[in-house]
Formats: sequence, structure tokens, C-alpha cells
Amino acid sequence: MAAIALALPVLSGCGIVAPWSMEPPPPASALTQAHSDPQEWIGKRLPDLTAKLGEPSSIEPLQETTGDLVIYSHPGFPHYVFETGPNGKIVSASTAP
Amino acid sequence: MTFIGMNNRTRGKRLAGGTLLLALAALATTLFYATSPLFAQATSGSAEPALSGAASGSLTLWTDPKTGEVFTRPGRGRVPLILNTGGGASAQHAVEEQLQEQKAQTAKLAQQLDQQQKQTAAVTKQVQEVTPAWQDYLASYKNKVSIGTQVWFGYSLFSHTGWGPQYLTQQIWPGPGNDGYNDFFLHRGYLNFFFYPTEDWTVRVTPNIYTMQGSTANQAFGGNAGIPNTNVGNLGYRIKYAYLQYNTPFKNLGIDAIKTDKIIIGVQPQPITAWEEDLYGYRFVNLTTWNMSEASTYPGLSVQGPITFGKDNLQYIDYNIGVFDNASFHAFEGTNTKEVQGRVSIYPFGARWRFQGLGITSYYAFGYGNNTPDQAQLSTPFKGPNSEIERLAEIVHYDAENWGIAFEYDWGRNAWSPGNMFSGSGPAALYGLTPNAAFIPKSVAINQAAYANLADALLNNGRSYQRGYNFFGHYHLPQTRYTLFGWIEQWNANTQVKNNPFDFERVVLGVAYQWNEYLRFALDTQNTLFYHSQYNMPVSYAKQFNWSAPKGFTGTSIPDVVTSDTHMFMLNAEFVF
Repeated sequence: MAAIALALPVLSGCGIVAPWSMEPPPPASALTQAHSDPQEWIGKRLPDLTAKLGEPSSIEPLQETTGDLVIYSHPGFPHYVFETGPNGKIVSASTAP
Repeated sequence: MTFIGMNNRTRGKRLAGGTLLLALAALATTLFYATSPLFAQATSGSAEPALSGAASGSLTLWTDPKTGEVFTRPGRGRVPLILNTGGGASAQHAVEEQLQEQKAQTAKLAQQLDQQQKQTAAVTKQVQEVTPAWQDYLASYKNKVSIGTQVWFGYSLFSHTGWGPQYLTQQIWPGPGNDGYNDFFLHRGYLNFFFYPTEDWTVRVTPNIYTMQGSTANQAFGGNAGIPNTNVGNLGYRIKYAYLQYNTPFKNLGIDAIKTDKIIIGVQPQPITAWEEDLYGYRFVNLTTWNMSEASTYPGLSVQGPITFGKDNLQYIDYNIGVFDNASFHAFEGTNTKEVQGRVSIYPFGARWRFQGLGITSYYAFGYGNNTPDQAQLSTPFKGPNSEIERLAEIVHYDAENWGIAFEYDWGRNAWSPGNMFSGSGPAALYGLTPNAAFIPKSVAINQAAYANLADALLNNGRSYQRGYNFFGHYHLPQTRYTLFGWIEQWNANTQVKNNPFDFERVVLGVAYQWNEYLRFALDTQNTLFYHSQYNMPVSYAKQFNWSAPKGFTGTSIPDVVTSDTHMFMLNAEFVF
């Protein structure tokens, strides 16, 4: 516990552990209009995605590929699930049913 | 020569004597000087013979239409007779043509010069803008290489220590009687190197930093000195993944359903563990069930990928089938056989992403104990580690954006060894060691040895069958960074044994907190519960499994064969970049 408490400020100083922005994501209508087809995000990088869609609900690292499963499931907003590859680029994008 | 202006009536008539001669003389003179520009300035009606029109190559005389006579001067009743002299016009025309050609050539040269100037300007611009080769190489290389890391770090506090399987790879703790034991430790440190030379190929190399465990023997160093063993507890460095991935082997078949399937050769994940870890999502907290008895990575060859259909390109099948060594990534291969493993996941309603919706997954593996052929052929009452090994899992799972749940049934044959049973902590006798007599009376130590022999008899006899039930899942609390997760397992170590004392339940419950895209924490409790009531196992029953009594053991039953539970709290951290 103590080690983690010590490590966090160090990592934070390196800019690695800055928490996500607490600002709410863009309005649902804007999301719907701007990104009705999430497939358009394939090939782009995660920072590009978060710049448009805001903070994801959760990110699960994938052991098999070393990519991530990036999930947007904010209540009242469109739900998206993106998968990134090991190089950080989005390889699949879906709208949750 | 053509007489221009002579009508039909005068054609053929002869000019009168002297007049004709005079006209011809004038004509000859005209022809002789035809090229002189002076004639071009003469005008008709002048006092001189009217040779007007010479500039245009014509000679004008006058004729009396009534008599047919030709005159050099105009007069009454005479009409102009225009003769075409020709030669001067041709020369003029030639000169004009030459002039025109010269003009055309000049224009062409001017055009070429202009074009040359433009090309020179373009080349100059290119030279100015040319990128050094090393910059171009680095810019291209940057897109073909990626480097990442994955680190799992944790703090664990054991409120009750017992013997049992590890919760995480390389996690160990002292046995019963050490309540309150706690430690910080690094479970895993990966360095992920990826190289994508073309879209068809991917190369991955992942060294793994791990906690070393091994022989504790000290070594002689010189004739009269020795050095202590320093392996145990050190962080070692070994290859976890090293493979070549062919991304588009089926692309040219023209079958869209399998166009993204791939072939992998090298040290790679076997079909179930990494896949299930991703389904669960909290591998940095605890092991999945089959990963407690088989490594996650093997050298081999596999074909894998999704099968997709329909206009939405939904995934209906996901498979991974391969042939691997019987030895895992951290052992020598000893056999002359190979292991076959396969997993098929079916999504009857189609999956929009990796695990979305209802899925039914089957996994099967058939292989052998990792022994050399000569040893494997030895005739023994119980083949033990030389035997065939089978593993099967049937998993029904449902996954949504915010939650996932799964039920897993496991069946195995010779798939749970004493080493698996006590990978976290086990009786000293199981590892050929003698307990410290200062803490354990000799009689207790003998009973412990009898217990260790029982583990070997019941779990390593070549006739053991395993069965497991698992229930696991997670739920993300909306509008928070918290996710609840859990894994509950019942494990029957050998279903051939009545009231098998090695049967246990494993309970993992926790909450995870996502700091950002790189960092997650989890606070959890993990427990191993040997759920059978305590009892003494008759020696007669144990001997049915080829149990042998340790030296000094004289009892008719093995006492207290159900070992104590283990309870532990853990704070986990996962850093992925």
C-alpha cells in the first residue's frame, strides 16, 4: 500500500497517471450526428477518439493482443465499444445494441 | 506558261510579226529580272512597258481583241493582257516558306526553352525539399514498430495461511501457522515488442520478468570456499511470447467470412487462457481455472480467427486450433509426441464486438506428460506423469458493455498434479524436504509426510479425473470508475476418490478502480476453502491408489487429511502502456 502511495506521485509527475477529465462527454445528439457510423474510427488512435467522445466508461486491457477494449456506456448517451490493436490504433468499432 | 485572261476566241491566234517579237523580247527581259525587287515597285500605267503585277509574278500587255495584235502600251481599243511570269512568285514563296519555317523553329525552340526552365525549377525545388534517408527511414519505421509494457504489482495480506494453489503466477506464502504474513510483490513484467513489416505479417517478442524459484543448493567455489544460492526470489527474465503471425493467409480465397483469420507460429498463447482472461477482465487479480494447472503459453503452430457473416459483419464463430509442445514456454520439450488444443466459441445471435451477447465456448486439449520416450515407456503400476492428459471446458457466457457473466464446467484427466495443488504453498515433504524439527514434532512431521504421499497417490496416479464448476463475472457501476468482479469455483481434484480431501472451493470477490487508460487498481479477497469435514483416511483405502507409508508411519489411517483454509486480502495494480 505504501509503495503504491509513493509510486503514484512519481508516476503522476511523469504525466502517466493523470486521471481522466471529469467533464461530461459531449451531448448525445452531437455524438449521434457526428459519429453515427463508428466504423469511421477504425485506423485512428485512442486520443483522437477521447478528444471527440470524451472519457470512456471503462478500458479493459486485452491479454491476447495487448490492445484494449474501450467502452462508452454513459447513461443517456449512445453506447460504443472499440477495440485497439497493440499499436494503439482502433481495429474494430461497434454500436451497442 | 499559261496566258491568263486570254479568252477562247483569241486562243490559238498568232501575234502579228514585229509586235510579237517585241512582246517576246519584253517577256524575256521580264523573266530575266523577275527576281529583282525593283519590279515589285513598278505600277501599271507608267511610261515604261507596263509590267505591273511583276511583284505578284504577272506581266500586263495590251491587245486589240479585233485584230489579235499585242501591244506593250495601252491604247484605244486595246484591253489588258495579263501574263503570269511565275518564277518570281515561286522564289518569293520559297523565301516566305523559309521565313515561316524559321519562325516555327524559333517558336519551337522558345517553347523548349520555356519547358526546360520549368523542369529546372522543379528539380531545384525537389532538391531543396529532399528528405534525408535516415529521416524517411525513421518516419516509416515508427509506423512499423510498437513497444509496450504490462506490469502487475500487488500487496497481499494473509489473515489465514494454509497450503494450496497460488492465486497469481509465482505467488507464494508460508504454510499453516503463519497468519498475518504479508508482502509486496511483482507478479509480472512484460515488455511487448511488435514489428509490422507489411500488413500481412506481424512479429511479436515479449520478454517476461518473473520471480525465480528453484534449487536452493549452494555451490562450492574453489577448494575451500562456497557461495550461497541467489536464484530464489530474484527477478528472472525469460521469453513469454515470440511468434510470427501471418495476418492474411485466407485473404486471396475471396471468402469474406474468414478474411481476417491468421496463422501463428512460435511461442504463443494456447487457445483458452488468454481468451478467458479477456472474457473475465481481471487476470491481474487472479488466475483462471485451467491456468492453475497449465501454462498460458506454448511453442507451436495455430490457426485462429473469427468467422463473420451478414451485412453487419457480425462474429458468429471464433476459433483457435493448434499443435503445441507438451512442454510449456519455460520447459524443455521431452516427448516424441505433441499436444493438440482447440477452442470454438459460437455466438448464435452474432457478436458486434469480441465477446458481445450470448456465447457458447468449448475447449479441448489432448497431450502427454513431458517425459522422454524411454521414460514414458517404463512399465509402472500407475503411470503418473507419463500418462495422457486431457482438459475440457464448456463455457456459457453473456457480455454487455457494462457487465459480463459466465458459467464454466471443466473436466480433466490427469490434469491436476500435486504440484498444481500446492503451487502456492505445500507440505515440505511433498518437495522432498524435512520440516524444521524445532517447530514441528517428529510425529507431526511423519503425518505430514503421509499427507504428502497421499497427494501424490490421489493426484498423480495416471487415473485421476477432475471436475470443476465456475461462475464469474463483472459489473461496472454506471457513472463511476468502479467495477465489481468475482470468481467462484468448486474444484474436484480427483472424482475417483470418495470425499477427496483435496477438493476445494475458491472464492474471489473484489472491486476495481480505473484511474486512467493505463492504470487500474483492485481491492479484493481471495480464499481457498477445503470444504469437506475433517476426517482420517484409512490406509487401506489410500493404498488402492498406490499410497506408500513414509518412514516411521505405523498408523492405520492418515490423520486430518483435510488441510486448513487460506484467506487473503490483496491490493492489485495493473499498469499497461
